Amino acid sequence: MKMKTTFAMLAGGLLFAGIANAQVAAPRPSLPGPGSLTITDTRNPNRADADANRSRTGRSEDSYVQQLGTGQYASVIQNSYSDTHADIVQTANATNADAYQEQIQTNSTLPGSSAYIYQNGQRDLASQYQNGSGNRAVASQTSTGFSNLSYQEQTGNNNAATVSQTGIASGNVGGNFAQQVQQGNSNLARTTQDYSNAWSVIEQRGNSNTALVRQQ
Amino acid sequence: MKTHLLWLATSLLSGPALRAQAQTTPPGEGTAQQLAEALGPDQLLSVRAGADQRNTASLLQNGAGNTATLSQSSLNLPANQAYIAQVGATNELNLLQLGSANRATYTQTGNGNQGLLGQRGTANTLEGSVTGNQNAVSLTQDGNNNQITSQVAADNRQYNLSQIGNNNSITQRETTPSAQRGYSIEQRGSNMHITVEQGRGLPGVP
Repeated sequence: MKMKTTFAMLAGGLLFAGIANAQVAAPRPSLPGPGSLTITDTRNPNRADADANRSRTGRSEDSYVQQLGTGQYASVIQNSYSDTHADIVQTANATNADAYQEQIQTNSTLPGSSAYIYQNGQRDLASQYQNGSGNRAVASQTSTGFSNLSYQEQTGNNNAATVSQTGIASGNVGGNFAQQVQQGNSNLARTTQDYSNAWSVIEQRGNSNTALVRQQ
Repeated sequence: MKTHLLWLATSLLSGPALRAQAQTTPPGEGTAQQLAEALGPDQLLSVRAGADQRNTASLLQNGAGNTATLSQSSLNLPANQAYIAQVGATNELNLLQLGSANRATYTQTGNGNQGLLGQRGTANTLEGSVTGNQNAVSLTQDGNNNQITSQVAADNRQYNLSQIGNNNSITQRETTPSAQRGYSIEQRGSNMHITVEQGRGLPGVP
């Protein structure tokens, strides 16, 4: 009970008091995220990197990573003109799986990029970072998933970020965490969380933005 | 009352509506992210191991014409909690909490904002402040042992408080010189408590 009270006070106090911060909103392989959270492959013996997919002039780059089993690590970085697409699918009880997607758009007048992460397991981590306009990021963590973390960071206009943490109730479910940070105008952040002890943090800076949170 | 909750539920399903212009300086930079950073995965995991099974949503919007819609229900689960801050003009806030012992804390700072907040259930708490001109806020609680604590500052706002049930209480503090657009408090039930303080300065508000 004491922890409950303390934690509630911490959450409320921090939100309305304002304390300095330094880390990025969505953890990256080279930069820590909230709580000094880092994405590494140290706990993930099976890794897949698509960093070589970089191109400053190409278009319509497409990356698809599928990993089955526990302890997976996938990192996809796309630095492109526009209109890239990246999928990471980690299934078959993908416990302790880390997935990272980064999409840097070098021409904001062209169609945006899309990033999709699907994880079916426990204690999974999904992190997505997009810079540009018209981008879409989706992180779906499902099945009997609990203690999953999802971070999304978008800079630009007309972006959409979606986190879905749902699944079939079985034993110790819940305890998922989602954070979405958007900088720009006309952005959409949407979080859906099922089961108890779910945490949603949304921060939007700019005009005409929309935030939707559903916890049930 | 039921109309308010129905309207709120409909709004939550139908999505955003308002858009606009202008921007103000935020009082709390990076607060939502700071919250996440302070919590961090380690603390989250430790909390998960504890007895607290509440859902939590924290939201910060800084700008104009933003829309926030939060829906929390815990009919068969422990209570929910929501922390919301909107800074800027013509923002819209919709909140619906269903269940018992829910807690919502909100602030709206700026002009032309709208807030529609509702709780249905027992022992819920709704606490917040609205500062700015031309704001419109509607707070509704349906159930017993609920509590509203609100603060209002600035001119020409519309403010409606409604509680249906027993053992409910409202505490309202205002520095609003005028309320041309309307102001109402409604309580229905038994053993109700209401305190309204008008003309007193709010902390940090001239």
